[in-house]
Amino acid sequence: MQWFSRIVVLLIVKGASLADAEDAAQETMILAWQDWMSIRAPAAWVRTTAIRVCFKQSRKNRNHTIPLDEVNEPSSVDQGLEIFAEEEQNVLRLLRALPPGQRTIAVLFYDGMSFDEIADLTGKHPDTIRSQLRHARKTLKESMASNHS
Amino acid sequence: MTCHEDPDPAAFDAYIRTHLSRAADTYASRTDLRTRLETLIRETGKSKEDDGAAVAEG
Repeated sequence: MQWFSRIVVLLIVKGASLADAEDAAQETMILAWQDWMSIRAPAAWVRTTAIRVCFKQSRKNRNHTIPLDEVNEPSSVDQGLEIFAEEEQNVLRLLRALPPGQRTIAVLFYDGMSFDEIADLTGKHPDTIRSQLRHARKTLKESMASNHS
Repeated sequence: MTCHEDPDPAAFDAYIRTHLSRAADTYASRTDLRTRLETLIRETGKSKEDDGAAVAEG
């Protein structure tokens, strides 16, 4: 059950509404349960599958394999965030407001993946991942500072 | 270290991770996950049985 909650939060950060995140997390759990014996890296598989399922649910007319960087849900839907505590909502909104490339890196990194794992998933060099994460931190800090001023 | 580098990114990262972790806990505590997952497992199991029956009939 811990995984389900983490996936829901991950998808919310990626930009999904709470309802869409729950649906995609549920679909991901079904797929994981059906294919469990063939999944070699469950943590990475669950994250990437959830992001892709969520994207496909909202863009059903696209049926090709979607690179993670193209999986950019609109951040305008804040429906359902009220279930979270105020400071949690603030962090979720800050992450959702990141530019798409930075958001993808940030969501995977802050969910516990290493630079090398993110590089494998996104097809980018680990140095690029580090650089994008530095930019993401800078953006987040600037946003936090402007929110407090 | 250049002037562009964050002197303590680990502390900032820990702050973000802590709040994401709390958000997951909050979600879990306010949602009846057990019922949701039990229903999901039941429905998925039924779906598999239906698939098996369809294959057997086909």
